[in-house]
Parts: sequence; C-alpha cells; structure tokens
Amino acid sequence: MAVQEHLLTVVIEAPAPLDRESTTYRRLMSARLRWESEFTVRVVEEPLTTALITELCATVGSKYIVFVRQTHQITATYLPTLLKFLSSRTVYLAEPFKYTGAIPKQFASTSIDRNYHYTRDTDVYGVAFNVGRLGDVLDAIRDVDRTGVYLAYRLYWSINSVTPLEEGYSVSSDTSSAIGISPQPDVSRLVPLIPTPSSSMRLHLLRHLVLFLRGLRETERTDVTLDHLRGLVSTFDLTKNLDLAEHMHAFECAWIRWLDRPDTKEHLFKQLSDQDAYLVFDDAPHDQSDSRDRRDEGIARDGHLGESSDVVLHRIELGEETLTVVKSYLPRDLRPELDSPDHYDFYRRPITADSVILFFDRPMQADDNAEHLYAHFTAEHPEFTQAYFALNPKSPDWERLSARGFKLVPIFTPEFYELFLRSDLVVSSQIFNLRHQGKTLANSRFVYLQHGVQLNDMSNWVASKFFDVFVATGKVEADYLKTVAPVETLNSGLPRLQTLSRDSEGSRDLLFMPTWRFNLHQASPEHFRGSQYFQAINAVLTDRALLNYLERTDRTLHVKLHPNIEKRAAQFSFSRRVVRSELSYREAISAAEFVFTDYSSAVLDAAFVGTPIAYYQWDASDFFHEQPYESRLDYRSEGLGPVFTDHAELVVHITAERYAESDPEFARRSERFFEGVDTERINDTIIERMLSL
Amino acid sequence: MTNPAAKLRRTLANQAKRAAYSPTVRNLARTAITSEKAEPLRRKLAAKGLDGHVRRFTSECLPKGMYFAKLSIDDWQKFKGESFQLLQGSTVVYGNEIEPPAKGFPLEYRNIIVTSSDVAKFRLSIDSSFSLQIGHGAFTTPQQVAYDKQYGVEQHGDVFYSLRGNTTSPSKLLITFPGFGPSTSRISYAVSYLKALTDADLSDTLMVCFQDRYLAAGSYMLVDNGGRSLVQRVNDVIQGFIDRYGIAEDQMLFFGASKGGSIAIQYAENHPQARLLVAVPQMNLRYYLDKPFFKDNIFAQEGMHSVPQPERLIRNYFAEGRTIDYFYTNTDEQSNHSLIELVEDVPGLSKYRVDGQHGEVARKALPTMLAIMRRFLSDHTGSSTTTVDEVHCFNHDGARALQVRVDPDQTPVSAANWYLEGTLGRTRFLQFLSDHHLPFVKYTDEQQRLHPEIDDLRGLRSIVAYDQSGGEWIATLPQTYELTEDVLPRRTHPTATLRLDAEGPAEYVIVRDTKVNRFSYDCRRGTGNEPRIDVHIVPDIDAFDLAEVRHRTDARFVAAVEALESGELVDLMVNRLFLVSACDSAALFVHDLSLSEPATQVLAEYSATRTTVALDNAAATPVSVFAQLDLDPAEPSVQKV
Repeated sequence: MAVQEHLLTVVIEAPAPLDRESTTYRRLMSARLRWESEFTVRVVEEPLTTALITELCATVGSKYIVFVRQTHQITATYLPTLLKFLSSRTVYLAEPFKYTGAIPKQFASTSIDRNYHYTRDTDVYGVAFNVGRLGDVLDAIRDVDRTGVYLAYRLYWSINSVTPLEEGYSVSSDTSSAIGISPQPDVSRLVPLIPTPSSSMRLHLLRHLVLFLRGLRETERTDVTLDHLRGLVSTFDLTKNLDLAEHMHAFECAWIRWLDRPDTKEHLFKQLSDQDAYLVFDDAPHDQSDSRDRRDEGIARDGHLGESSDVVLHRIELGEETLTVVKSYLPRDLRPELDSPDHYDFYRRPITADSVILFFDRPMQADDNAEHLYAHFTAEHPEFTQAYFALNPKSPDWERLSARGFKLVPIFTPEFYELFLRSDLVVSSQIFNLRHQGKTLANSRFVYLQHGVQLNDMSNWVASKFFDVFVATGKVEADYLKTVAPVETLNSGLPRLQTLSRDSEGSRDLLFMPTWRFNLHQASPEHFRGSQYFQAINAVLTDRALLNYLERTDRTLHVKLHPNIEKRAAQFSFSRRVVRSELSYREAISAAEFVFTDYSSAVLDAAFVGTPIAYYQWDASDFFHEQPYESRLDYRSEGLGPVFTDHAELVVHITAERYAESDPEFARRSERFFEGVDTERINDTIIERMLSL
Repeated sequence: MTNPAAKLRRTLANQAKRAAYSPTVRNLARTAITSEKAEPLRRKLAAKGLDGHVRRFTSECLPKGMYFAKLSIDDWQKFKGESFQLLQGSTVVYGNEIEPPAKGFPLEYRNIIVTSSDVAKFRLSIDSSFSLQIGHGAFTTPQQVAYDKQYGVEQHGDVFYSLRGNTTSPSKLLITFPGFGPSTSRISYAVSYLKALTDADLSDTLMVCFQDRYLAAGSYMLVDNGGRSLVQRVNDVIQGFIDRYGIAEDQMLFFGASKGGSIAIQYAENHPQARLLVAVPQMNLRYYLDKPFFKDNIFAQEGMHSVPQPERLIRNYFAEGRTIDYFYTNTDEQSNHSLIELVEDVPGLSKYRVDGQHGEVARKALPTMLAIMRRFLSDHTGSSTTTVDEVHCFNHDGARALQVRVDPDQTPVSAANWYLEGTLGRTRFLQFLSDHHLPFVKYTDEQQRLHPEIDDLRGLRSIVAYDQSGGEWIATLPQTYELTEDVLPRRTHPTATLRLDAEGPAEYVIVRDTKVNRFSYDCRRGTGNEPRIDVHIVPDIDAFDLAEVRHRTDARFVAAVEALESGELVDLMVNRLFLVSACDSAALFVHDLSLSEPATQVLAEYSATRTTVALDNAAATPVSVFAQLDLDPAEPSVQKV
C-alpha cells in the first residue's frame, strides 16, 4: 500500500485528447485554489473497468478516490465540498445528488423519495470511495462489473443509507435507460447477494437489474446465470417496486415477474383490439432450429406463423442456459378481469364519431406525420368533431395550425391528460409514455406514425414499446418491423409523404442535412471545433471548388443543422452561397434540387418524391460504434443514392453535376424500397385501420 | 376510637347532602338554573370554576334509592373482547363486551344506574380489579364537557340539545338525533351537528341537534335515567319550537342515522307532513339490542320495549305516504328486520341501498344526505341532465353487475354519490354505485350487485348523482338486453310483520346479505304458561298439526316453520320468533332432517347470547336434531349456557 500522499485522488476517465476547456474539467481544477495539496488528478484514457479500479486502489496514494467521466456534469463547488467533507472525518463513502439528465437548479431541494432512489445512477462515478475499503471489497468480490461496484460496496459494508452532500453530479445521458448496461463478458454476478433491509438499496438494485436486462436484450449473451438473477429478485424482493420501472421498462418488468415466478410464462404486455400481445418466457431446452424455422416461416408469410402470429423476440444465452422470449398473440378472454365491472376496458368502447381522438407530433414542433394525418382526417371525416391536436402553445406552429382551424390543446397540461383519459384513440409521430389515472398506451389504443423511416436496427426498442398500429414505409421496413410486430405493422407509408411534392422545378438549391454524434454532447467549443464531425462538415461548407461551383451556377447550398447543434451553429463557416436553412425539413426537402446527408433518414422523403440524394459518410467505419443503434441498411448495396467517404469525391459529384444524372440502379432500389406504398391512399389506409381498432 | 364531634359533623353533612340532592330541591334548582334567564348566573358560576358542581347538581334527578355509578376496570387488557357483568348482589346491573379505551385513559363505564350506594355490594363477573364511584349526580368527562361547549349543547329541563342556524325567525325546522358512539369513548353523548351545513345553508332554518344523554350511552331518547318515559317531554320541546316560530308541518325534516334514525322515526310520529331522512335505523330494538354490547345495559330497560317499535311506526308512515328517504344496507339485517330490503310500492318512499357494514352507510352516503338536506333547506328541486355513454352488464351466477360510463362534462365536480335508479311500484329504489378511478366510470362492486330474487331489473331506469351542495344529475339508462336476459319474472315478497297470533300459515321473508329465504309459519298461544316458545321446523307446514301440538306443551307459544326456498336463515327465523315472543327460552324441534345444520346455528347463536335453549325429540317425528348434534335424546334436554 502506498503512503498516503493526498486526501483524494480524482480519476478522470477521458479518451485522448483530454478536453481541458470543458466545464467539468475546469470546475475540478478550480478546487486547487484552496485544496491543491489535498488532491491529485489522474487521467485514464481507457474506459474504467473493475480490474482498472482494483489497480488504481492499489496504486493511488490517497485515502479516498473519486471517478469522473469527462462528459459528465458537476456543480461548481462539487470537488471543494467533497474535500471539505472528507477532510474532517473517516467515512466509507461520500456522494452528491446524482442525476442522469441536467442537474436541477434547486438540486439541494431534490426530494429523496422512491423515485429518486430508483432513477439515481448507480455507477461508480461521482462517489468518493474509501480507497482501503474499496480495495477490500474488490479483493473479496472480483467478478462484479464496474457498473455494479458501487452497489457491491454498499452491500458488502452494509451501508444502508447515505445522505447526499449538497452538490450535484450528472452522468449527463439517459442512454443507459434506453439501451441498458452491458457488463464485461466474464462477469458472472451483478452484485453479491448480501441481504439488506434498506429500501433505497432495493430500489437501486431494481434499477440495476432492469438496465442489465435491457442491455441483455441487445447482446443476447451473458455469463450471469438465471439462478443468480432469480436469487437477486428474491433476495431483494425486487417485484415489490416494479411500479416505478413499469412505464419505461415494461418488457423488463415482465421479465422480472417471470424470474420471480418461473411457472407463469405468459405475461400480458399490450392489449389489442381482437387479441392481446403477451411476452412468453421459456428457459426449457429447445431444438434451436425449430424456433428459427418458425420465425423465418412467419416472416415469409407476412408475419404469421402458421395459424398464429407469434414471433421469437430473443434467444438469450445465460451461461449454459438459453432463454427464449416470444411475443404471442392470445385471445382476450384469457383475462378474467374483463368479467369484472371494476375493470374498465378501453377497447370495449367502439370508435365512433363522438370519440375523442388525440393527435400530436413533437411538443414544440408539428409539421410531421400527425399534423398531416390530422389535416386529412378532419377534412375527410368532419363528422368526427372531437379530434384534437396537441402542441405546446409556445411552439411556432401553434399560430399556424390555429389559423388552419386545428382544434388545439396544450400538450402535457391537465387539459391534455383529461382528454387523453377520455380519448378512444391516440395518434402520434412520437412515442411518449403517457400515463394518467391508470390509463396507459398499454391498455388503450395508440397508432404510432413514426417520424421517419427506420434505417437502424431498433427492433429491441420497437419490441418494448406499446402501439396498436406501427406505420411502415415500404416493404423493406415493413418486413423488418414484422419480425417484432407482425400484427401491428401497417405498410401504408408516412402521412407526410402523401402531400410532399417535389417543388424544385428550376430550383437552384442544394441541401445538406448532417445528423448528430452522441459523444459530442458535453464537448467544449474548442473540443467540438477539433472534432472530426465539425472538421468534415465545415470542410464541405468551405470547399473552394464547391463555392466556385455554387457561384458559377448561381446555386445555394442550404445546410439544415440537427437541432442538437443549432446552438453551435455560429462555429460553422456560412457564406453567401452556403447558408443555414431556417426552413422546415419539409420545405427544405421539397425545394431542393439535390439532398445529401451523412446518415439521416430524412433524405428518404426526398428520394420518395424523386429528388436525387447522396450520402457523405466520412466516419463510416466508426459511426455505429459510438451510437446506441446499429445500421440495418447496407448503404452501399441498398442505399437510394451513392455513398461517399471521401470529401473530394462528394465535391466532384456535386460540381460535375452527376447528381442530376438519372441512375437506373437507384431507381430500381427506390421502387423496391417503397414497395407497397400507394401515395394517394397513405392517409386513407391509416384512417381505415385506426377506425377499425 | 370514634370522635363524637366528627361523627356528628359527618351525620350533619350527610343529611345536608341528602337534603340538597333531594328530588324536590334539585328539580327546583334545575328548572331555575337551566332556564334561558339564568345564563348570566351560569357564566358567573363557570368563571368561578363551579360549573362541574352545577352540572352534577342539576343533572337529572333519579327516583329515591337510585344512584349514578361509574365503573373503572383495571385489567381490561387481559379481558379484551370478553363479556363482563357488574352485579349488585345477584342482579346484573350492567354488562358489556370489553373494548380498549381511548389511549392513555382508563376503561370507564359512566352513569350505570344502581340501587345501592354501598360499593361493597358490587362485584364483577371477571377476575379483574375495578373501582366503582356512586353518587347522586351524573358522571361526565372533561372531553364531554369540552364537546358540549364546542357544539353548544345545553340542558333544558331533562332534555339536551344545541341550536344552530336561524334562531330568531326560522321558517323551517331541521331536527337531528345522534347515533351511538364507541362504547369506551370519553364522549358518550354526541350530537348530530352536521358541520358541513353552514350558516348560509341554515339562513331560514332552525336546526335542533338533540343529545341522547341518558344511561351509559343513550336510551334511544325513550327513557330517562330513572327508566321513566321521555317521549312526552321531547315531543313537547319539538312542539314548542313549532308553536314559537309558526313552522309549517311540511317545513320540517327529521334526520338520524342508526340509533338516531330510530329516534327520528319515533319523534316524527306527530308530524305526518314532515320529511324523514334516516340511515340504518333499528326497526326492532329488542331484536337489535340482543347482543353482548347491549344485552346487560339498555336491552334490560323495559321502557325500550314497551313503546311502539320503529318498525310499527314506519309501517304507519308508509301507509300515510310520508316523504321518506331511507338509506340501508343488506348486510344489516339486525337493523332492517327484513322490512326495508323488501318493501315496495310505497308512495313517498325513496330507498337507497348502500353497501358495506352498518357503520359505513351514513359516511358513504353523506353527500346524498347533505344534498337532500340542502335541497330541503333551499327549496331546490331542479336537476341537471347527463348521459350514459356506455353500459356493460355482467352476469355473476345470476346476480347482475353493471358498469356505466357517464358524460364527463356533465357530472358533479364536488364529492358526489352515484346510483342506479329504478322504481318498485310507487317506491323509488336507488342502488349505490362505486367510483372507478376513472372519474367517468361507475360500477357495481361485489356487494352492489343486483339480485333478480329481490331486485326489479326491468324497473331500472336511470343513473342518478347527488353532490353535497344539493345538485342532482339524472341520466337515462340505455336499455341493455344483458341486464334482463334469462331473468324470471320477479316475485314480490310479503313484508307483513311477524305475528305471534298468525292463526294459520303465513309467509315471512328474511334477507341477510345476498341471501333471501321465504318461510311459511304458523304461531299460536300455547295452553301452558311457561315463558318459552316451542318452534317446530317442519318439512310441510300443511301436514303439521300445530293445534294438536299446542295442547301437549306447557310453553306459552308454539310455532311451526317451513323453509320454502332453502335451509338458509332458519336460525334468524327462530331467533325472531323467540324475540318477538319475549319469552325467556325457546325449545327447538327439528322435524326436517335437511335443516338440522341451521338448527345447530341457532344453538350457537343462543350460546353467544346466553339464552337458554331446550332441545327435545318431538314425539311424533321420525328424526330429531340430536342425531345431528350427537346428543343423547334420552338425557335431560335443557342446555344452560
């Protein structure tokens, strides 16, 4: 053991180069003013693992250690407060209030309730550990992943409650909630099964298990055994607090219920009109080829497996065992509550002209599929007098839609929830976890219009969401969706496509629509400026040959920035010929002569109306490693336009006006891609289906 | 050694005390000090801290040789849930079932009436130490004193009440009567003050809240502490208000719940034009009070039973077509006595069937009762129309359940009750509905289901809501085939009173919870004079010769009973006959083998109430109950419990 040189070691996890201008780094360093002799900073460039933490514990010369990831957020006095606290006592650990999103301004008044304990991030970050005691724990428990170290530490030392210091720490991303956590491959336990009477620990453990199961749905492979998971559920009585997890992770909650009671294999997941969707968990040994055959057969028959529509969602290996999760459509009469008058069944009430129907796009921005469907529906079906469109009154679209006679309701207000409660149908381009007085999208009708075509493989996300109808655009997407939602998928095409027209006759506008990179969320301006993302985009915007071409041909390149980089727009080099587009996506696409992007699916709207498109993917080899999802589409063999990875090739494609040349290969691909979509009947097809629910 | 001077002082003091507490002196003092004119004097005495003395001194005067006693039981925890008796010599003077007292207080029973002031003459039936205080004045508690002050309860002669609302020139009279409190409450005598009613509500109304301040926990305002009838005194008070303010008869409303309901029925007698609003009143006091809580206290008061029972009065009111709002529950057969559950085609009667136990009814239906009162107080008669958007019917083994969705825009905003409403001839029937967590959904829970045996499913017409402000919402119930599918034509049930002189088979129906059974019975005076009723359970009443049997018994009454539907509720039938006979014991003869099980229930029931039961083998019957009870028919047949 090294001689104690400091009170605290701050371990900063940051891939090179370290962003020394980031707010978090600067705030950490500012503690030196008063506490310089009390702490030291150590930067690790690789992601923290249990092994690395063990090594750090053995080598740091301080009494305490705290881990901070460069992209995380801290309050201004986080480190001084921590040091002051630790300097006056010996403790197992000290921690601030922890968050996944932005740190609230009044974080000190955060109520430490069930919800806080459940949603609090439980990774090692932000917590000051006693180095000696952490070393003891890691010495005893080596098979726990980093994501379980904090919980293992508290279980091992029976730390049942912790009063947070009045500082805030945020992991600044809810990605783990969306895609879960994936422990290192050799991890065989999530935490040691040391009983605890602490209700807050049980909530932390529930969250940890939920996120593990969510991650397991992505990897489908772990060394953690079903026995361990069952032990976890029973030791900590984890079914008791599932109400907190249900609305975000209903799939995982069903899974936990099955772990608790393995004899009950079928778990109701989503009520539907004619039958209900169940998740069926089965760990009995099967001949694997059987199920795969069934699944393939199902897809071949448009989602139906012989007589049934069941689909295999997962086949997950847990050590030596295999767990199969099937989505099964079973008769409604399996539910005894339907025979009881204290159960209200939203499906028993038919959709009629008196029905309240609620439409909405994004809270701050309409102009998407719900708006277009609403406009069509109210025009063609004026007998439905209670169709509402929900929007934030501060949205710039409010006035426009009000002038068009939309029946507007302020979204997420009591009035909105009251209408939701009364409604017979919700139709949206967004999936929000609506919950009010027991009504959810799991027990009522919901038509999901999507806000684009899915090019990434989001099937696990799709499988965990509630919808009665999932609108697909073209056979390719519909076939993909039917692997997880054979009954719900409707290949009608997006409503906005029906009225989208190519208004580019004589247009001299080119359109560039780069999408976003998750790893740049917290980057300092300088760090952002140094990123490959910025460099690649700005190189296009400032390319001399391209600018000359634009000037010579009197064209303008419109750049439609992703909403996440709007605030950094000033860093880009716009000019007379390269302008930042203020138009809506729809208007910009409609008016463009040629549209290119890196990965955005929005260009498919352009392809749909026959506008040439192209992909410029300067980081194709790395892009999907850093994103939460994987690409489903092979852009080179299935894309509806050429793919460039080299800046010069893109510029030549434009300046040589190759984009204007028709290409039969792309026309063929496009025809296949959009197969099944009858442009004139997109809205009517959806309306027929939604009114029949 | 005795000090003669001290002895003399004691003698004189006792004589002075006796003289001071003599009925004559106290009656005079009470009349003087409880009059309105004496208010300044009362305030002055209170300021000097003498109000307690005044209260005791002016409390009701008992006849000579009677005293107030306060019993404190020390080891109540050991005997929780057990019955006990306080005996004066061999006579039971009080009894109850031990319940825990309010936290931090001793277990006390106040104002037990005894006939000796010698503490040594009393003992407890349980092995617990106890203390007894005996005196001439009534006992009270600081909590009761504070309560009376808070609600303005004052003594007026032997009658206690508080006044609210318009006390100068009212045009309406709202009269309320209280129910029982918990037996161990520090506030034994409450008033039905109805705090929700405001001064604005009562702007034209004088509200009189009577207090049943007699015996240990009230006497249904039928007798005073000395066991003398109170009826005339209370009637005079009510008539006094009517005369003083010139209140029109139809501008009066009598209200009470439980015991208060029975009292309201009693004191509405002279006012046929008045409205009557009652919840779970006891119809037959002997029947209701025949239980451990009451058996050895107010049950023993002869004055409770010698007056016409509420059942008899309300039957008269039904016949008169009075306006009556009656809230009840089918789980309360002890209060209902199988009248309100079955009665129909009575003009002016609205019967509200609320589910839950006896004590829950008034609380659950409070918004409706306040609505009825406020509509009366404000002469409001209007209604709002709403609609039923959806109706679903469920069949649970013949019983029907219902779920409705009402128009959420046309519903009460404040606390409200919802009902399924129908007609039973000229009677209005309302079945309480449950609130779903979705505010626009109402439904029948398990206790609210409709039973084709007693409910007229075809007569259901609407969904009705009342909120406590007095609002009424009515929605037509869409006709649903499922509601009446496979329902046989409904049979009306007789509701005639149970008679000891039936003289020929008559029909009697008993309802308990969801069970209904019809009985054919015959009852006659026996030829003997033993205070006993012989009840013969027979398979066929027409084949049973009761006239012959009555000559072969020394019992005062003989009865034959045939269960017409099932073996259920036979125990209640026997018990009712026994209680109506007012005999000391019953002898049960089971001639119908299939009913031996219910007969054992009767035995168990009587065991619980310490009533003597005789069992015998009827001479002419082939099978006796002994075969089922595993008793030896040859042995003496009287079982003492």
